[in-house]
Amino acid sequence: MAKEEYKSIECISNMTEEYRNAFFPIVEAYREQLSERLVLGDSAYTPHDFDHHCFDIYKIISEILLENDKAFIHPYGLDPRELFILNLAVLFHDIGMFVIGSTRETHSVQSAEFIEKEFEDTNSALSKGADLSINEKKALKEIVKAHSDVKDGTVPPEQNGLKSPGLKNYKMKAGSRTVVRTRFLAGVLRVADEMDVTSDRLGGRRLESEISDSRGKIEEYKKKGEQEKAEKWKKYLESLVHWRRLHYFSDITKDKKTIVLHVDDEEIEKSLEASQSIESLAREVIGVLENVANRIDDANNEAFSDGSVSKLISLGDVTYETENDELKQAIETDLNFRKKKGISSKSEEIVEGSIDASEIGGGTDVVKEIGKTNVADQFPSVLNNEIAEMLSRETKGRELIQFGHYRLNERYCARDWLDTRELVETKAILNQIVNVFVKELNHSDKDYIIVGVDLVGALVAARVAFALQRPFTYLVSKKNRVFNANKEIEVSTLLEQKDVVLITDVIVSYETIDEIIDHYSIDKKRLHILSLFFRPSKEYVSNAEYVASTKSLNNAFAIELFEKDKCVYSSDGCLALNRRNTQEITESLCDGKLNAETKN
Amino acid sequence: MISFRKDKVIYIPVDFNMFYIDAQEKMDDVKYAQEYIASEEFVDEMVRCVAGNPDLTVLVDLRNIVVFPARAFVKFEKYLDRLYFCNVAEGAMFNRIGHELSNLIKVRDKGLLCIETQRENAERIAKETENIRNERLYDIIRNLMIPKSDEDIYLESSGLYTNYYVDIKRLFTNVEQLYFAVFSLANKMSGSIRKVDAIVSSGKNGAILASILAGLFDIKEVHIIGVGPKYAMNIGDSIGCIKEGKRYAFVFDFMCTGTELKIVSALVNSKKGILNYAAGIAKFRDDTGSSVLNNLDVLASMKDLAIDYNVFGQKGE
Repeated sequence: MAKEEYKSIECISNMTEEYRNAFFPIVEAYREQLSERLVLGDSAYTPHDFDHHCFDIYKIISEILLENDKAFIHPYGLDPRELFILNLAVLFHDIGMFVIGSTRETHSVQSAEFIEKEFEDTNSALSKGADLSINEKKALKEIVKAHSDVKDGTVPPEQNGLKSPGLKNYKMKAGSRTVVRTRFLAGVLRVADEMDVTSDRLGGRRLESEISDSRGKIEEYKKKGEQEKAEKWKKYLESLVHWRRLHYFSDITKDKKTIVLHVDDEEIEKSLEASQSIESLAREVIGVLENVANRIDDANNEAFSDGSVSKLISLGDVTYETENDELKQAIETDLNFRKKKGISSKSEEIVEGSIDASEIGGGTDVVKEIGKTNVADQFPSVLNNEIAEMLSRETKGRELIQFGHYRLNERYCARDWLDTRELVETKAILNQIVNVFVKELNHSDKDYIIVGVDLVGALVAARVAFALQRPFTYLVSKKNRVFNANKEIEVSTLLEQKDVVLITDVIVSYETIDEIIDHYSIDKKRLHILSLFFRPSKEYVSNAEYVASTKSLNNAFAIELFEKDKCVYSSDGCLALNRRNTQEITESLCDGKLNAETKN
Repeated sequence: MISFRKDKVIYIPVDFNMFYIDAQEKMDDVKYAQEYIASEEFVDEMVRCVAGNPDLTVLVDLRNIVVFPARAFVKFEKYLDRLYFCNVAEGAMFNRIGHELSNLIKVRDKGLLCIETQRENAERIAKETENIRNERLYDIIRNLMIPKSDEDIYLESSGLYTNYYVDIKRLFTNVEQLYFAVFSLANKMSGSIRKVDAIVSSGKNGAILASILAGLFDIKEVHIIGVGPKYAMNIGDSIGCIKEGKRYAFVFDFMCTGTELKIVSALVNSKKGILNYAAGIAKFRDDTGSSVLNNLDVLASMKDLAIDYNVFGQKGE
């Protein structure tokens, strides 16, 4: 952005000369501070600078939100002092991000406190330039505080954001109006802030190399044993991944009342070529749409309905535009699915990553609880925490946990199923998985054969074995033998002569492993197990001997099991979703029919 | 060092050796390349091999080799009377060898360098180079062919019967053989794979080969499992990842009648994808699959293997 370009934006250029002359020096005094990049710290990377973010917000307010033919026309629209206060609020709303000790969750409070401090300092540019009354200063602080919900739990929901009791109509120093309509102005700022989702905000920066560099930094600090620095860089990495979504949108416009987010189709193609799935891209787009829509709804309800302001702003639905038919279809499919299931919008919070459940005391509540009730050695050790976090993120992001009723084995049914196929068909993810397993096995001096269990296990085993130049084969679990060629089920006699490294995708109860060991006569003393996921459950206590032989990539997804005999859905034979054995289904149905006929 | 022996001849595939050695260093990061650099250590190994087998003729196959260490060829000087450099690329390599070993002559049309007295053998040697390499592949694949014991073998993908089963799993348990087969297949695929967005497979063995090749070519892989009359395939979920307009290559282990190719082709077409290439270890006949695809590569057909492979509609036919 050219240094002076912001001055021509309508919400700024429409200020009276008096307020423009006051505003510009304040901008010059603080814009550099806003352009500093936070590299480390809890808030990590955040694109909140003046030249892009503030600039974008001014443009959004002027070109999309406010009805220009009314909003800037005094006395029908905003009072000149209101406009001045609004523009100051935009300038300072994120300055709290740059305050030492600030966090993303409370930055709006820190921004308000910063304003207060600057006003207390009579030498500050703000104090000198903005001749605001005490009430107007309060109004400014409250608008800034309300632009983002306080997320550290210190403010109850009914008093957070636009519901804040601080958003009163403060008496104005001078002007045609007697009050500053703080709730309205806070609503405008909140919505404009949320709408700044295009790549303009990044100012042409590509985040991929920073993401790659950050990963390198994390590894470097871990190797040096500097855990604290590694943790900070991890947060930075998470936020970079979060903000990468800005690349997906090139523009935001308004068509009558509808807000249109324009998808950057080239970026979508790039992401597809980098093996991101169309479904996950659709989810990213929908996530942003929903965030914007929710913000607008919230503001319409809380801040824009008052008679004095309702003519100044008119916002309806949020939609998107893309030329990519595949993306369109994926978005529509996802939206239809959510409507049917009544699924509400996803949180915009950055996924925190998985929990290493091998550290009992950490982890999700369910996993913690399992950790308490079971002994520590009920969890296999996790090979790499970064990969564990990546798998958690990908599993959640790609919605790989299929909810329903599934048959786990002869004894148990489960509430969900973790479909790992998409993970191994995504080369970036598969490469990382293979890399970790290769590192794990590379230094072994044992004579071993690598054995994959079922399809996903076989694919990973093949890649690992090929990389290590080791022999490999695969085994078929009992439940899948009916779907495999007879010859595919037979296995080499090599298993008898070597250590066996079994690679599988998900372990829940070890019953599959146990059956395979038994069926193929594998020596348990020479057994090593590598699994993508280990899913702990309260209902099942794992065989300690197997757990000791197992290393996994992720233990974070607990599973709820039901004994088949007690399953309420099994009264006429198990009708679990994954019962693909048509013979069994036919038989059970026939049994039912015969029974009915007999009864009749 | 990996070399193949036939009678009084030792054949050294330098490109394959460099790929194999490279894979040991790079492990999961190994990629297929069309050109290789011979290392100093490997050259020394070759020299030791030549020196250690004084009664044997050595064929050093330099196909796909673009760089040799400086003054490396000079090390072979003492052994030129029983040494041939084969498949030497025109241009820099050809000139370089000729420069370092001035008593070698270039038999350009055969891509061969040898001493004058061996010129009359050039044509035979050129053929022998190809034969030994191919024969090695054929031996590897023959080793996978399990003849029926009592009963005809049922082919679950097509519902037919045959007198041999191709046990690809055996290949996976022999590292060098697997590497050679995969490398040879990658060589055949390298031209066509550039025009493809993803590799698609069906069946477990095909999926494993596809995954290994996808890793070597750094290309996406899609696995459609449960293709064929035996399997109750859920159409909706198995082919969800086939995308409209994307180009696919079908990788298989063994193609008998081409049923799986036809089904996969139909599935890909139904999602408006494009199946424009297929490659695999072996197929029944030269024309197998040609009704579906013109562009199809295999390492061998049953004719190449000289195996009397038959297919019949019923048991005992």
